[in-house]
Amino acid sequence: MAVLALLFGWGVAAAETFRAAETFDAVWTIVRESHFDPAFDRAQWDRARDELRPKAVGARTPGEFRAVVAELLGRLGLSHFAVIPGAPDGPSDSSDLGAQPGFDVRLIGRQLVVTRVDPDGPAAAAGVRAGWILDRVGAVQMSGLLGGIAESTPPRIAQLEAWKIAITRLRGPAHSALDATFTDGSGTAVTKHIERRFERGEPVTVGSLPTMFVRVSSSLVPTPHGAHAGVIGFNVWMTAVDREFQLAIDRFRRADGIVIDLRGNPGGLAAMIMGLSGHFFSEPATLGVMTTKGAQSLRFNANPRLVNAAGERVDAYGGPVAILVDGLTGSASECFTGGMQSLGRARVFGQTSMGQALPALFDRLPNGDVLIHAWGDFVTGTGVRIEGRGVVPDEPVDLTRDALLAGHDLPLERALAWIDGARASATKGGKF
Amino acid sequence: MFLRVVAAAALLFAPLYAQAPAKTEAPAEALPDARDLINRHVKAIGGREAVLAHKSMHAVGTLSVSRQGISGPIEMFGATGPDRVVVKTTVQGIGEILEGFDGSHAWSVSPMTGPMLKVGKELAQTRLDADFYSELRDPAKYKAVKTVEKTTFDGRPCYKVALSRIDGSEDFDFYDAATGLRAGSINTRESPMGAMTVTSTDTSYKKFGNLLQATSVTQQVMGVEQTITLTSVEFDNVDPAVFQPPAPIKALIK
Repeated sequence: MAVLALLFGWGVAAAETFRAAETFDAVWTIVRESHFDPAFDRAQWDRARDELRPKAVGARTPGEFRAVVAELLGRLGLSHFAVIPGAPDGPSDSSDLGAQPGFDVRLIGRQLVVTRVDPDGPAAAAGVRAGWILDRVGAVQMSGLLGGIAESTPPRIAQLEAWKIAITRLRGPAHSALDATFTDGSGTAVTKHIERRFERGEPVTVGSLPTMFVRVSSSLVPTPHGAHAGVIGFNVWMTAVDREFQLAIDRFRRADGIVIDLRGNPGGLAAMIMGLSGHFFSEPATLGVMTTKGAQSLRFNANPRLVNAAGERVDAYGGPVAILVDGLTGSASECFTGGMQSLGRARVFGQTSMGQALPALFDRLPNGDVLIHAWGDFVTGTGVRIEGRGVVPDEPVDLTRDALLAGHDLPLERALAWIDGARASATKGGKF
Repeated sequence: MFLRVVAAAALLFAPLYAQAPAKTEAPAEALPDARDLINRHVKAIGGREAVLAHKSMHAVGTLSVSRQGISGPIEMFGATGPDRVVVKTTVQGIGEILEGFDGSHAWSVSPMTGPMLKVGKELAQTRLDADFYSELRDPAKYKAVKTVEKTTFDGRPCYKVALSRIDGSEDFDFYDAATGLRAGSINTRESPMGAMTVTSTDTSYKKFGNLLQATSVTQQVMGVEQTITLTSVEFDNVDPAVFQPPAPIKALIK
């Protein structure tokens, strides 16, 4: 049997070689012991174990096994229960999605539309433009895959599903290439050969989590009425952001407004929301409350940042703050945005966020995968639960292909216009 | 001494959880006096005179949250005259986390939350926790100490002692019935996020100079377990400058 296993490779690999029983039991036990909801149905969870464990142990490949675990976790109906693979699903699979072509897409209507192109990336070099429709990646028609998303799917969920469909085909190993076919601004089909490159940014690895690449951008932009707003964007909540964010705040301390761009920011270290929000408060303020198992509660309080990067005492930024979000804004980004919104300290523009805002832990599993598991619930300071709902913008701003083709960033433009109005209101003694 | 501070300080990216599973046994004997239990522990680690002989301490070790694959060096400084403490933890991917008390001000500096001065109850608790001679459980710092029960803690028969502190906190110590050494404790401390209860298990006592010190402290907080492993402890060789607040904290104090 051992010889046959070697000859047939993955096909007959015993579940013991990827420790299926041990790993399944670990997943099931961790969730059972740490689930935060007092209404968690343990009897149902026990039945799920009885039903799915045999399938898990009988899996022939890591991919089959992970599908069973995904089914188990899916029964919880909550975000932040997922497994990050430690190895490929099968012999023909690659888990290397570390490189990307340099553009991002969002679902507009029933089409994937290019929303951002990295000006220094390979897609820009190939001539890809915002507003182009992504029709095919290789021979795979995007419309066929998007058809699997039901029309009745809530927009924020459809956005995430569509993005996942795209990203698993757009990303791949570094220096691999993809042929992407677009419909350009004139309605012409255009195929671009694009080499994938490593993600830009500072590589950061925390514990068992995959390495993330941290990017922070900041710029001073004019508002429609000639004022100036500092626009700060970052792609993930890792501590490498803190100093760059602090430097940006110091630079924009006299700006007429601040815009924080969290579009596409899926989250990260939740505790950071206390530090970054502190730049906008002179006194501690509760952004939200996390409740874990046994009804233990912890407050996420803004910690006033009254010292600049040079170690000098400063006042917190007191001007208007806008936050940009979209359907790929998640987790810590949602806790931050929802918290700032609930306190009336920021106005939110864009599209409703992911609605996946549960504080989570991560555990290395026996098979080398990492289990992400929610271990608390989160509500904003005004008691709004973001999980399953998302942060609803104060000013919803939908993306349109025409605006993208014309080079407009509608949510940003609306935020800048609001800053003009907020300044005018402040001049007359109003509040932000 | 240090490990009480670390219990409050080290869990800066994980919230709290409480209560080691303790099994209560039927009282088949009279419970020993709490102060006798404390004194027995002091004698077991080297004696009161050995504790009082030192004025400062520097410990080095590792902090790990093994289930999450997180680890990093931890360094602790303590001194008396006045009581002061500094704890530095460095975690890959997160950075340096600093906590300190200089006799007057208590602070933390973290790349997640920024610089923070402790106030109110948190400050009062930190002040007491910084007691350099905390092993002695100075009667002046407690309203009452009482042996509550004989129970099982960390799989060992232990005496549970309730300590009512003058700052209003209530701690619990567990003293190994066989060895007299402290097996662990349960402490509830204020944090910027709210009250947190930490259950600590002290093991692997080793001798450094003339004192025994638990070199492995496992802490349970809200379902998260972390372990502090000390590799070296030195006495009476600490530069007082180490207790100076860092520049961002000095700016907040002004």
